[in-house]
Amino acid sequence: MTSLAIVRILFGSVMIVSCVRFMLLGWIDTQYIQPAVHFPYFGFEWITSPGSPGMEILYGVMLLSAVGIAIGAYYRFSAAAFFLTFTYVELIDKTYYLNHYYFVSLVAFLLCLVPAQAAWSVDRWRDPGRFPTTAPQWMLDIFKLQIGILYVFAGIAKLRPEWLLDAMPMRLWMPANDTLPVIGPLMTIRWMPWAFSWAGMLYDLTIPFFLLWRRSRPFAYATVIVFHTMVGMMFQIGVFPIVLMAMTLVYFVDKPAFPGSSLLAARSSLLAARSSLLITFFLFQLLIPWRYLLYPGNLLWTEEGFRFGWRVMLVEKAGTATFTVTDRHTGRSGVVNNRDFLNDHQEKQMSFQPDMILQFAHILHDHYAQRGVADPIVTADVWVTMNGAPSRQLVDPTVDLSRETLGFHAHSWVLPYE
Amino acid sequence: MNRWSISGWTVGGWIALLLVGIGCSSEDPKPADTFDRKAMLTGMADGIILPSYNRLATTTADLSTAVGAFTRSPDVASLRTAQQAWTDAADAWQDARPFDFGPAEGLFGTLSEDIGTFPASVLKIETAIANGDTSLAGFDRDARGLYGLDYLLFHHVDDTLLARFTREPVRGAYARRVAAVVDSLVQSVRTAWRNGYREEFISRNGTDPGSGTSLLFNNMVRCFEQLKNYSLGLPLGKIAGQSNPEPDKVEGHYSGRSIILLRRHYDAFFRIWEGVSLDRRPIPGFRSYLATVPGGDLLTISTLDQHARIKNAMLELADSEVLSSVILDDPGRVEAVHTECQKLTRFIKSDLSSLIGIAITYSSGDGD
Repeated sequence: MTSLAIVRILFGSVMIVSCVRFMLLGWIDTQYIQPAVHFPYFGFEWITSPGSPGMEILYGVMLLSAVGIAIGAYYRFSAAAFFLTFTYVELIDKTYYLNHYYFVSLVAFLLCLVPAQAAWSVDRWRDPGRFPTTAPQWMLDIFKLQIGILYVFAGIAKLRPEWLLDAMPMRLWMPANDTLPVIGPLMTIRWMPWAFSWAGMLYDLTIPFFLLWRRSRPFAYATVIVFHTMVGMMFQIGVFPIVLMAMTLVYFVDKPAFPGSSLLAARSSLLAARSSLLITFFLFQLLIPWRYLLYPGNLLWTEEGFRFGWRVMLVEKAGTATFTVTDRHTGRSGVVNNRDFLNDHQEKQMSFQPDMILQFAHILHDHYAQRGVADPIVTADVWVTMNGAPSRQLVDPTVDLSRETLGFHAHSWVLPYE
Repeated sequence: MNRWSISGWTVGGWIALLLVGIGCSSEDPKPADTFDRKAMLTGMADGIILPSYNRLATTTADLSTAVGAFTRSPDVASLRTAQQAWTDAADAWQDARPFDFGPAEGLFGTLSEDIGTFPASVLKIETAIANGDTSLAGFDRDARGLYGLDYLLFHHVDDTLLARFTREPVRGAYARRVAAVVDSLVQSVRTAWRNGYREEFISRNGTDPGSGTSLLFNNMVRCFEQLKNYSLGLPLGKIAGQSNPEPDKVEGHYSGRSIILLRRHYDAFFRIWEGVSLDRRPIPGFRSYLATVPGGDLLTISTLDQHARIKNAMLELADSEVLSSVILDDPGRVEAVHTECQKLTRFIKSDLSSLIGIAITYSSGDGD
């Protein structure tokens, strides 16, 4: 059982660091309390920021449950509490969507399903007889599979002509990092963006397999360290290089373990429920990144079906979005200052993501309707640059976005990239 | 056996990478010069920022002296001197206003908020004077700053002004206090730039949030957006929720200097992009930065083209005209400037930050 305990302790510890870092940087306030509006996910509009002190309490529970996971105290409760609080916070505002946050939620969910407290834990110390001594192999394999899914999909996402042939967006990102210690000088070498693009693609596609294979594992892990250290230096992605460096250690713990301990065999109906849950969980993950195929147009441009697909640092986009609010009766119109509603981070993300643009248009409609503008018409002039190309118009500027509905359907008002 | 095949694959892989890299790079005719951000930051600090703050500090010191002299013995000559001193300070402020970061960020607000808030609130100023309150306590920034003095020194014809300042010593005390606070805020920002902040600014030559490059970029954009949204949009009634034009809300309403200030404000913004020092020498700016990145040439052409359109639209406004009157009588000429500015936004904001990889956020946050 020690192998699962290692996963538990590593994950819990990194999450403690992550929570404390988030609190110390003051981000609870700037990301979840100060903003006047948020961008919830479709279908999850009921998840809102509880403001202060609700957000602090949420983070407090999250931190405590991360500690509970790390030391294995009240483990089942801790794992469930961490999964729920973390996922709740992530669902408040898609501005802060990160593939890595999604990964944390998924791993936390998996941890709810396994008795990772059976060794090296407070729970075991309190009641040693309660736990089995061995775990079935699948309990480790689900974590390896989870990490494998992340990498392979990230690799598949990089199989694009822009990434491989034009070395975009690496050619934009690398020179901006030329002042980094040690690796800075690499950034200005002319062919290096191509080397980084190809190396990144090959790394993502192959690393889970090299980690699985015992002979290549030490070299593969050294590559993991180098890769994530460099990526962590180049991009502002917080603790996540450390999350992955820690979690990939799970590939080292593959001691044969035997199923059939008393606890695990006893309740076969529960086991069956858990198996079908896990199968559904992974099937969902294998399918969801492909949902973009159901939408017309260029995925990177429309972003329809973009999230939850492990498209990590794949494209450089930035936009300038100008909203005009027009009184439906008087015809009088005015330009919105986005910063009156959004923080810098929200404005930046909203300015190139169509579903956020539509949400913001609805927010503006309701706000100005309350302020006495008659059933406001909301139009948007949005220009987006993608991978360094001159910016193009993203949204049909003649469409009244306040009349367009949110949802999973293809947005007819998003202009094609061609 | 296995070891050999692994090394074989690794070596082969790296050779392939090198070949691909070289192959692709030789197809690219444009040399990938790297841009010396440190040189840009140095040029900006020594060529624009410090000279601008120096000039501003000289003019606000003069303004404080002149307002003191005028309010202690109000006559036409001392009024004229004070008004001229205000004009010089307001002009100098336009040059310094894009650098509203670092020492300019106070505990309760930036220098721009403290000395550059407009429109002035006549009600708040007159209430304070009527109550004999010259403390400037509280956060009513629209009752102080340069545009508070704009009201106090220009709001009526000479005779009425002189009569008021003669009759109400509190009015004089209030004006002196406002001028003194403006001056002391400016002096402390300038002192900080001279005593170490210049070096800090230059040394942080990365592109991360909080770097000199990012501060310069973000404040350049903010300065431009203030011009578009407030100096133009607000009096034109172009802000969502406004039901009518509000010509009285122009910057520098009482001195009638709005159009000159507008022009200077725009030039202060654009010289950062173009790379021109305060004494009109070429220095490295975002334009020369763009020359070193893929796609930069196209963006430079678009930016210069739109810049020319804005300058042309501004030529339709004469320095001698009063902006609030133009907005009342012939708003089309001002709206044209607003429209052209709107079109420039994306070139200097998202397109530029994307090409040079600058963090567009002021504070940090994790991304992607």
